[in-house]
Amino acid sequence: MDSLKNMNGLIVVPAFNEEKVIASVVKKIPKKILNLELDILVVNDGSVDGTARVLRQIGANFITHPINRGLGAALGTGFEYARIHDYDFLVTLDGDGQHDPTDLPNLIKPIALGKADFVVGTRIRKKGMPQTRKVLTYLASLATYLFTGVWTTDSQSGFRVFSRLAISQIFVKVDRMEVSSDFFRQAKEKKLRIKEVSIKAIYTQYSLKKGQNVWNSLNILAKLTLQKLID
Amino acid sequence: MQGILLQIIAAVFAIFALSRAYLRFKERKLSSFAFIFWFAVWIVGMVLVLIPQLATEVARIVGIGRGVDVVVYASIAVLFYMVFRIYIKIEDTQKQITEMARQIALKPRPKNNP
Repeated sequence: MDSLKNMNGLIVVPAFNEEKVIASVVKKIPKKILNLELDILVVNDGSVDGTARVLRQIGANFITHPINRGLGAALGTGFEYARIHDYDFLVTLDGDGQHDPTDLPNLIKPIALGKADFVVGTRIRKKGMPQTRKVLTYLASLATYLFTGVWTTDSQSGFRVFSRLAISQIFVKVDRMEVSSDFFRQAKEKKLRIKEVSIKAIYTQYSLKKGQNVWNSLNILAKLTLQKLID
Repeated sequence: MQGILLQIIAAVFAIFALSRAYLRFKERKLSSFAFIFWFAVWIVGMVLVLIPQLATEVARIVGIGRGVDVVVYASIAVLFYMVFRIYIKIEDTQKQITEMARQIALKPRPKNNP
C-alpha cells in the first residue's frame, strides 16, 4: 500500500452538548491508520454545556459555532474546513460515542484505494441494534430511496468517509438531521461511487437518547418533502 | 343597519392597514413590489366590503354560488401563497445564519486562545 502514504485525512466529529462522552470519543480515535495521517476536528455546534471546556482540557482541535445550527450545519462546516486545509479524505463520526474507531480501516480502505468516493458504515448487518431502531432505520432508508433514488441499508448512519472528489463536490445546504439523506442525493447527482461497509454500533442508553426517534423521523420526512417541492 | 356598521368597521380597518403599509413603504421597510401587493389587497378588500354586489357578480361569472364564497376562496389562496413565501424566506434566513455561524467558527484565531 505504498501509494497510500501521502494521504491526509480529517475526522470530523459533530458535537452538541456532549460533555460527558466527547473526551472518550476523541481519545479513542487513532492518529494514524493504514499509514495514513489522521487529524481530528470536533465541530462544537453551539453547545451550552461544558463541551468546549472538556475539549480545551484534552487539547483537542476544535472549532465552535456561536449558536446551535444542527447536525447538517456542523458537518457542512467540517467540509468547508477540509476544503480550506486541503485534506485527501474526510471521515464523519458521531460525537455521542456510538461508533467504534476500530472500524475506521475498513471504511477508509475503499477510499484510499480509489475504489469509492463515499463510503457509508451501515449498522444493520451487525447484531446489537434494538428492534424499534431496526424498523426506523428501514423506514428511513425507504424514504431516502423514494427521495434520492439510492437504496442503502442504513441511510441515517453517521459514520461515513468521503474522497477528495466528494469533498470538492458536496456542499451541505441542509442544517439538521435531513443531512444524512441529503448526502445520498448529492452523491447520486454528482455521480460519486457509493459503497457500504458494515460496522459495529455501540448502543448505550446515552447514544439512544441522543439519536433519532419516531418524531424526529417524521420531521425529516416533512423536510425532505418540502425540499423536493421547492427544488 | 347592522350590515352597514360592519361595512364601516371593515372599511376603516382597510384604510388603517393601507396607511400602515404606506408608512412601512416610506420607511423603506417594504419593497415597492410588496407595497403594491398590499395596496391591492386592501383596496380590493375595501371595494368588496363596500360594494358586495361586485363579489356576487364575480361569483356568477366564475360559477361559484355566492359572492362571499369567492372572497373566502380567494383569501385562502392568497394566504397559502403568503405562507409559502414566508416559508421560503425563513429557509433563506436560516441558511444565512448558518453561513454566518460557519464563518465565525472557521475564522483563524490564536492557537492558545480558542
